[in-house]
Amino acid sequence: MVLVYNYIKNCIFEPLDLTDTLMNRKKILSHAFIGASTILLLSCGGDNEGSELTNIDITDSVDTEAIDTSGMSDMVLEYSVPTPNELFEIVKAQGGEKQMDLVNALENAENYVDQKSKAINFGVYSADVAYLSCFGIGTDFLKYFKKIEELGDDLGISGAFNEDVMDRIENNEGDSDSLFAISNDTYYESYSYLEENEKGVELSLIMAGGYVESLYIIANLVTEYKDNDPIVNKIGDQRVVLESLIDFISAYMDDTSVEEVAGDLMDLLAVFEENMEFEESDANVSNNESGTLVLTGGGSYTMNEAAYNAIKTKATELRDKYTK
Amino acid sequence: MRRIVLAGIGICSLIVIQAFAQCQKTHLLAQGQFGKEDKGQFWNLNNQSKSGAFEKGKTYEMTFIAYEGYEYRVATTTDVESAANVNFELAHDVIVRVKDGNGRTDMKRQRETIFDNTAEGMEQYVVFSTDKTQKFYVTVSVPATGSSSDRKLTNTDRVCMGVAIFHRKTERLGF
Repeated sequence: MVLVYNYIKNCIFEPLDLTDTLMNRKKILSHAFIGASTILLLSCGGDNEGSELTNIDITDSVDTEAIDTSGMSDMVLEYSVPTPNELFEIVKAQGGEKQMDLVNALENAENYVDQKSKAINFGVYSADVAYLSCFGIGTDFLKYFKKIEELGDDLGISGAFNEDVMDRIENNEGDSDSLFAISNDTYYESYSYLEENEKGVELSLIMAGGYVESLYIIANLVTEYKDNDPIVNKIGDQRVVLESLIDFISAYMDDTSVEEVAGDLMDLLAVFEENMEFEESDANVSNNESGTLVLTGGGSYTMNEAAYNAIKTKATELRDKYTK
Repeated sequence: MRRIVLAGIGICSLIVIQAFAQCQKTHLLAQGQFGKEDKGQFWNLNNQSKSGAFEKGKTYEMTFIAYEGYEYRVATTTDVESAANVNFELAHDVIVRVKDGNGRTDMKRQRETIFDNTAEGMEQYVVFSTDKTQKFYVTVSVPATGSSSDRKLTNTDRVCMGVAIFHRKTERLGF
């Protein structure tokens, strides 16, 4: 029963409007995991039963006739996506090295005059702050943080900032671990504030900006493609994050700005899906000696050089579009 | 009359916002679930954790992303004292081959429950690792009875509930 809530919510309670092609595409694409979107899959490995498959349609195994829809409207559903801090922490642990020229120049903020670009670049600079603190670039942290605060004031979300945060930053300017913790806490508090105050449109744009900037940075940390490079794999992992992000912001697509950004993100998702390869494998769940559930297999998308180049190009294109 | 209605709506909105604000940290109660051994194991609170005020008896579901190379600890909490344990499930999607009536093999994405605490003595947390980055679903049954410890919610049909996610590096990460 549990597996079909999302499908029900989007496909039964909110039937697709077939007269509106764009919205139709958005709804289908934004629920690529759940709905009936078609994904072209290549390169199926493993030794599963059945004949060879070259083109595969992945669909959700939902039997709508068998679904008990009573009580479905009582369901509360929320999407979470990892913060830029979490991503950079992993990338750094996997050998990523800092490059100062990857962050968005502070001078560009003069160009952000409308609410949409301010919100998106609030997210962009938030990702930059996470990157700077993670990689120990403390001197620029404060300047970037002040820029975020300014944009927050313009957006009417200054309440998202704890009053003593600037003091904390100034007192810890040389301590990258503390700055990283501050940036992490601030991101969470801002997110919670926006959610509580029903600022879903601003939150959607901020999260989109943060996602695009994070993807741009990690894609450009890699100077040369290598198979099994852990950072390249993390770039590929952002496909899953992007799906959840689109699911989240699809609730706010009545807003034109969000709709436009969602369109960009769906184009980006298409780049992931058209270029990554799907490897089939049996799913397995076991317990290790300490009682931890260990999940292996179940099929996954993998990176290749063409996918890396295509994703990097698209991420750079979107990043330029949002920040210039 | 219109002013009264607007004022009423405003007050109700304020109460709801305050209730959410009060519940905002409920997931932090999960830190009290750590035993002595757990405390020395470098668990980091993950920002995908969620808290809020929810209607009694309803079902709450959230998704989060777990990265390969990390272990995750997912715990549920509530401020309802009489509800010592909350029913929750952890699930993910797997892709399976299914033959249709014409013998054609299709790939289907299926939701698969990997942990249900009703089958595990109502354990309040689960620890897992994954060999690939993927989306997980946490489904929680909001307690149907009992009262919130939060004074603002005491006589309402809402209680505070949280899903806490902690992560830590596994040994395989890095060079």
